[in-house]
Amino acid sequence: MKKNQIYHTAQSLLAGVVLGLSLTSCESLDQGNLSELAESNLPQSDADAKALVNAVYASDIELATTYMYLIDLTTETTVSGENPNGGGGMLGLLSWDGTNSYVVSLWRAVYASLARANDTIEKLQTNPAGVSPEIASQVIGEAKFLRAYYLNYAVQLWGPVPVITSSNGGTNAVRNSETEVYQQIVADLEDAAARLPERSKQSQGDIGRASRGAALAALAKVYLTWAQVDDELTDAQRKEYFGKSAQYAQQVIDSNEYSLEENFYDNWNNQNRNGKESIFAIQFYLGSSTRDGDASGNNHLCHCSFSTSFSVSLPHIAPGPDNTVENSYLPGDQRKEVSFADSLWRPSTQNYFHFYFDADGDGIRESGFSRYNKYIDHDRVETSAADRAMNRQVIRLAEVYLVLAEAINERDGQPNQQAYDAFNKVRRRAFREDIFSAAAQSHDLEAGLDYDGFKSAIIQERSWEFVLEQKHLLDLKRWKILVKTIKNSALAKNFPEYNKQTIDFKHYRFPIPQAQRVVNPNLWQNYGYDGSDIATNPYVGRE
Amino acid sequence: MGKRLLVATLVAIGPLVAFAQNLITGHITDVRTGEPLIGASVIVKTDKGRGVVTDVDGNFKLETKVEAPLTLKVEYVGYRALDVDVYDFDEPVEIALIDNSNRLDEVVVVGYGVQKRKQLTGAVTTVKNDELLNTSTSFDNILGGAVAGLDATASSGQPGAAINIRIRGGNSINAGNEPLYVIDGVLLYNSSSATNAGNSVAGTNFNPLASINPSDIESIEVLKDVSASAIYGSRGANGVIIVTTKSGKHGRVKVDYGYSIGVSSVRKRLDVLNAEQWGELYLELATDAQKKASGVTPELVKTWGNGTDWQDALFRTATTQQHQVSVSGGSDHERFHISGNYTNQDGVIRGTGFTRLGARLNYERDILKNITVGLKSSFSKSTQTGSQSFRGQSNGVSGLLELALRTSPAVPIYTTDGTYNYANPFEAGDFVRNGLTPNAIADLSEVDAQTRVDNTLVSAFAQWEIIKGLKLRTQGSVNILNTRQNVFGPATSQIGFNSDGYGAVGSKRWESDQVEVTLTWNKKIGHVHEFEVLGGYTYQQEKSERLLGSTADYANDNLGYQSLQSGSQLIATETDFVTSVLYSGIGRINYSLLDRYHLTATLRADGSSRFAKNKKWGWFPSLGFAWNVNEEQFLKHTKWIEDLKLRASIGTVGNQEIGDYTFLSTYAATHYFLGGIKNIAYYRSALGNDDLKWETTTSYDLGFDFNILKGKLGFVFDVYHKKTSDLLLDIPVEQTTGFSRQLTNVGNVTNDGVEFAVNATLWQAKDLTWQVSANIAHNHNEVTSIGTGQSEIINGNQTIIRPGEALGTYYGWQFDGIVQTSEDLKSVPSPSNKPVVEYGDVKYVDQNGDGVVDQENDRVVLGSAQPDFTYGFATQLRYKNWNLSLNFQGSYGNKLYNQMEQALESPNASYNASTKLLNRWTAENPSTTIPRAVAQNNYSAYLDSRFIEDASYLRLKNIQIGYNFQPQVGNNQKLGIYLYASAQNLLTITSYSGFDPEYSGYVDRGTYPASRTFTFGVKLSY
Amino acid sequence: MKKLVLTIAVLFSISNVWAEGNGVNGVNEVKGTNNTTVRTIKAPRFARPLVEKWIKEYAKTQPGVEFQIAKGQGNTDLNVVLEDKSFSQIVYFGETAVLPITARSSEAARLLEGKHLNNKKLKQLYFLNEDFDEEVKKNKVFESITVYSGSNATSVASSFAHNFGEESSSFRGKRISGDDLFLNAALQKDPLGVSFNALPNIFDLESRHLKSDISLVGLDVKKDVADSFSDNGTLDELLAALENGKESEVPIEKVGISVNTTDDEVNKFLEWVLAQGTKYNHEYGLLNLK
Repeated sequence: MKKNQIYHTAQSLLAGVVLGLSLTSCESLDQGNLSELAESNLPQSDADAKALVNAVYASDIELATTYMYLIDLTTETTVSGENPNGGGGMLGLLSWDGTNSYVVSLWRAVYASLARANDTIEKLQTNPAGVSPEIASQVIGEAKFLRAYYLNYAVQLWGPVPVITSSNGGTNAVRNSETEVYQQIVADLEDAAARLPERSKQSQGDIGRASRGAALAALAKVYLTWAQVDDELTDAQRKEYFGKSAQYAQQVIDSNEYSLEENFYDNWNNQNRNGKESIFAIQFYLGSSTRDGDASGNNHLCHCSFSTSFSVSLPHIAPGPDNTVENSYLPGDQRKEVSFADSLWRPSTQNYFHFYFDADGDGIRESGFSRYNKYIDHDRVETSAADRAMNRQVIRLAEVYLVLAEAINERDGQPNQQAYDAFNKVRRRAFREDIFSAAAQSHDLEAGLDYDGFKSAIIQERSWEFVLEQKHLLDLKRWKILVKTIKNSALAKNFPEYNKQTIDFKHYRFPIPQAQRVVNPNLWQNYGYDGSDIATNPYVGRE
Repeated sequence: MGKRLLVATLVAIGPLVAFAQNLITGHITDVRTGEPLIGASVIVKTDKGRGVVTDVDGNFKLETKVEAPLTLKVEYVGYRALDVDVYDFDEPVEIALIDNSNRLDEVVVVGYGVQKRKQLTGAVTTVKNDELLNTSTSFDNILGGAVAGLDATASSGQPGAAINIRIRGGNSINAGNEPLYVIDGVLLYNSSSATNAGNSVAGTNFNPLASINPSDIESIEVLKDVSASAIYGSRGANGVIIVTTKSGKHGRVKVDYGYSIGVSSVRKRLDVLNAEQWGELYLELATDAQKKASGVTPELVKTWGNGTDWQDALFRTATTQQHQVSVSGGSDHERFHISGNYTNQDGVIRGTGFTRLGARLNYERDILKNITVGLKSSFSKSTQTGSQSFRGQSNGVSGLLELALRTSPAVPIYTTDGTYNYANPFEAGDFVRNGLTPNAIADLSEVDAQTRVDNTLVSAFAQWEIIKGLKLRTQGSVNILNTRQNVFGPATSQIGFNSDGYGAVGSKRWESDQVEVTLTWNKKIGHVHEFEVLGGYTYQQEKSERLLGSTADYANDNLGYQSLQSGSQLIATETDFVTSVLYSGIGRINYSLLDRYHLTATLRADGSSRFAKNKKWGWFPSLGFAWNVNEEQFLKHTKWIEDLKLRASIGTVGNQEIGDYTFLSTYAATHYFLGGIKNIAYYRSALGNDDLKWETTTSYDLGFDFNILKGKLGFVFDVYHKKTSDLLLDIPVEQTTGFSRQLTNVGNVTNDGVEFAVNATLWQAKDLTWQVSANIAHNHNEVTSIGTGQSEIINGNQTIIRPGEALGTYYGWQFDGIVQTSEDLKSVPSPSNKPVVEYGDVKYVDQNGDGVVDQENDRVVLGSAQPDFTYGFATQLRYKNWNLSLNFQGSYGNKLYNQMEQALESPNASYNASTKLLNRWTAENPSTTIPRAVAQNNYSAYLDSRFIEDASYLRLKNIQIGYNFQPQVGNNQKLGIYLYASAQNLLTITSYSGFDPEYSGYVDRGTYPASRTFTFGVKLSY
Repeated sequence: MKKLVLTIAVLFSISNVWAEGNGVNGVNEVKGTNNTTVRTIKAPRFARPLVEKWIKEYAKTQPGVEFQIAKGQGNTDLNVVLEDKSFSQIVYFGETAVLPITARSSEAARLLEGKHLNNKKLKQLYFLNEDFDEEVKKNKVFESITVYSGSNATSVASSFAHNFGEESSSFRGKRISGDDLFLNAALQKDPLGVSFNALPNIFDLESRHLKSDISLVGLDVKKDVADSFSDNGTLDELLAALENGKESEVPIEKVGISVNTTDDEVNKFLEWVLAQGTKYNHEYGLLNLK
């Protein structure tokens, strides 16, 4: 009997297994990825909405070096200590082309950021359930501000660029004219200004987000630049935009949301992040790097200006050996020590380390290489280059004052008292004088200057105020004096090895990335770069 | 009176007539081997239904009323039936059957069924090598050199490591290139990702097929062309390998036990400088600051002598032991095969090894007359130890093997008091942290790295012959892989030294369930038409769950990964859950006309979750023709031709191994600081592609099988053209969309090739048989298009994908000798990695003559890793009780980038170099091949033709001598004993200077070297 | 009453058959008439007349021992076997010749009449023809004939096959199970049958002439011995011809006795056979050892 039992159990077991297996639950063919959010389930809460726009800020973390290399290193003020064959080295020697790594990476980053901004705006315009209307509107405002922020860099560096305003647009894109780009920028900023709260109304957790003031300040700068560079504008339009620029600048000043730091250094003091003068800055803390495995802040301005730490060898970027700007400060100007350092206190050896270029080691300084000082963290000098954790200033109140002054001068063809007052606020702060006193101060700008006199004063003041703040190339381009200024600079004349003398009209615009033209032939190439079919210099009225 | 007489006679003749019941006894054997045939059926022709089956010794007893002489019909599967007229019942009937070695009636396992070889329209090669099957540790290195057009190369010599197999060249760039394995009907894709728990430091090279015990294997069929593999539709593009495990035979219980012990050592060592030689090089290279720091002076160098031989400490002679036991048998209605195996294999690099404990239970049972149910299940527990790779900054060194090879011989392994020495004055860059440098030999024993995989595979089937010729078969199977990947690097190890110790525990559960229902109907109409129609439905789902936790910065490290919580720096825990699903419908018609003209038409529809919304379903048709020419009138009577079959096939198959969710647009997480606090941020990470589908391979195959001299000499010839289209490529898109690349089906690759195999029985007699087989294959692989978006794709500065070239084409500078003092430095083109040219430097060809040798326009194609042809030959010699078998494998014309040699020939002040540098260029010894010693370290980004070596080789994969005998045990039971000695990789003829020319990747850099093994073993079968 | 007796008879006979069929393994201890020790000897039918003669003659010289011809299966003390290398102790006493035969005046005989088949032809007739070297054309006649061959261990089939370099497994036609003598019976039943047999099976030992129902297949032998190979030749002429000249077409195999149990009775018998027994070889159709 026993044997049969075994057989029967074996049979039933087998039949059971076969049947059991054939009835396993069948899954559907549409399998979603359980570990990454899919298109459909976002945003569902205020936090989600904020998270979407946070990603638009985050893409700027990688771009600190790119802005500095493209806008500061390419001018007569700065040289590169990097490998001459690398992308950075080429920019310093003014010998970049369509394959330069920084030109290529900025183009990709700008449009990746636009796609993120467009995605955020589209999702929130449908006011999704779970997201409160105020937050939705604020986030749309921030997204539009950032869209304008990135487009503003693109149009100033490449001229006509594609304007993408939908999240799945961008295929066979065309280069929109500068007018169309600036119209989009202005529209975005005006809508942002309407939606964004003033900085004082922002909660503690929102510090660093774009505020109404930031939008207004940006509008002031954009109207000024637009009026100066867009050749298709009529004189009447130019006059109207200079007026608008002055009007927005005055609005920012009158909002009393911001004031000038008495101590110029405090704009770059990590204990005073997002200080009273800072209108908009990119936040870099330890750990904000988005590269996996990189625990640093990743603001490469800190690394490039002090990469060789306390040693004589040249860091990635340094002021030109001619020291023109450093020596041009009037005595007593606090901006000189903050902007340049030809020696630094070394805590580990308790002495001053002198940075000088001693070629033959005989101890005598043939010529000095100071260091740019703004992006050296003076609280942790030894690890500043490694930590890279200092905010990057984008717009400060000082610039609003100078924009107001310049706009009035451009609008009226001559400066008025309002322009002088604005100008002198910046000048008085530099010499620690009473900014708001009605009485004239010793370092105030000499009165009675005509349009040209006042304009050259503006040019000189900006070169003192905004050292290594990613503005100089853009200023030279909007003032149309790029080639003249760099060709006649001390660096070009006395130090030919830095190749600054090869500045040419083609440098008014950067080349469209070569690989992108292969993929999208609509992107015609700017004058002077290979693949461009523009024979003669199109930059009319520029020196 | 009469009656009594009648009764008496009845009694007298009783023994004869006995109610006319005649008793016939007999014995049936195989004519060639004399072995008893168990289960042969014997029936009396004129007495319907009176049949009996021979017992375990081949004997039978039959009672019948039929008078002598009567005719017995004897039949046995695989043997020629025989009629015997029996005249005398006293004598036992002796019958010897001939196995129809006539190959054509032989049955071949094909997808979802079996088919007569004669009717086969596809290119199917059967691998049946009993000696080899019982002796090698893992089944997939049996295939090397055995099948024409199949290259089996070890991905690394690491015990338990995966092996890469290519059938007729690689088709794909981004998708998988491995063939599909079908093990007892369970579909498996051989990728080590199923056992990769994401612990990248613990090494991810575990071979999921290592859990199959070779001695359980009954037969291996390799389906090479599309007519054979189309039934597998979107998984058949790279060819299919069908493995059938033993399921026991009708008859007495057979017990087998096998034990083998192997001794292996590394095949070859690389020649590096000894301490004194290195000292002289150091003095030439180091800067004054470095010399001051290390304190090395010419006098000191003189005292160093040979110094430490790190390579000697790295390698060891390793032993491998293997036990294997199996019990199989069965009655006429059930069959079982139970086996267990234990393998303990030490690696030739210290601290590495592999153990496997496995069991298998196969059981089949016939219920009633026409239902068979069966269970095929295997369980194994494998552990791979010592596989580890570097973490974080690696200072240009690829791993522990390379670090051991290149650590300076002037540095001792142990300090004077016997502990490991962690002070290396010459080390620089990322490998120095407050005076501590990693010690390669120490890491091999101090780092605890272990990958444990439990593999459970259970498949059950039920087969029901509803009516004659109509069979329904359902099969369900579950395959579960539970993987643990643990690693702990103490603060002194390379893994942990940057973060004061690092521990990681990864666990992964991977499950694949599969259900199949097929209906087969065969019909024969007279001798003219024969049909076999198959229809079926299969469902397969794969689910995997993975978790990885890791921490760093350990106060004390003797708890290791057992207590991750004692690491103070928490690293983000990762989990991911992946599900993929495949629905398929299959259909096949085999039709034979006059048993001479055969047609196979196959259609499979696959729906896979891996493809985009509107591209989930695909259709895979194929057609195959075969013509038995030898049965035509004009050849029928030429006796010496046994079989001449022409084959042709055309069809399409797909390749769905493209990873999961690649078509979805998903959101990835990143972060941004606001108000001083880290905030989460989401952004769209991938541009979805709603048209993402599998790669399609359309192939045409023409071939013939030609056997003559009663199967003593056979040729197989195939010529094929394979075109893979809709190749998955990451092509650049307009960045104005916000993304820079998108996975799209756009490229084409073609493989055209010729295969030729011959097998011959040179001698066949009672005592001596000598068989030889050889195969050779040529495959031309070419990328024909990579879409319009780009003209070529350069991968990692080493290989290039360019239309017109093969996959794996090397792309670099052309070596042009050494700058001699007689040359004008100005005229020498300056290379972009060393702009200032000096005497003794390397010269490269300046292709566009612009005076500068740079990456953009001076790189050229330097040959490809694809071989011109691959070949293999084997011979088995059997003389009385002895047998000798040799297997050779070789390839010709393939190149390999020996980056290890490039590292050893690029000296710097930290690391050792090759002895070739002894005759480096100096003013006095102006060498034309070895440049002046110049300290450089970013050499690996600049590949040149000096290091693209010819990796053709001919290798004696396996030589084996065995002696078997059957001593008498108990009452007429025989115990089969087989003693053998074998050697693997005994002999390799090659000009390649690296560890091993047989390498599956494109860049040979510090991979675990192959070893030479001598094995002695015994096999008992009773 | 009758039914009862009948059933007893049946039961008795079945049990008897049963007993015999499943003979107890081991030596077939059958008691002799006056309980003298008995040795059994098994022999194929062609050698049985000679062995019976030996038993008769030997019994005269050695009354104490009785030799009997064993019936049915089971082991025996002595076995008359053909030459076989695997058996170790064989005492050879003579040789047997094998000739191809057909049933007299059968269809097959008519077809083969007047033909003198040489080795090649015989090979083509009797064996599955796989010789690849000769250009062999189909022979309609041979195709129609069925070959009968014995399949038992003691059959002359293997020696016939080896003579033509073939194995016994490659015979054409049908196998029969049972003693070679039954080949003659098989030929009677199939007019198109052809076979072969040892001389004592095809000659009538008394009349020294071919058995009436058997006819020899014509062989390509030397002229002078041709008629001794014809149907009307006598056994003795044939034996003499075979002993004098070697005919390649005629397979000749040594015949001996394999010894399973060795004791002096058996040894004495063997000595006698070699000394006296071989005298009767010719008489009983066997050739003498060369």
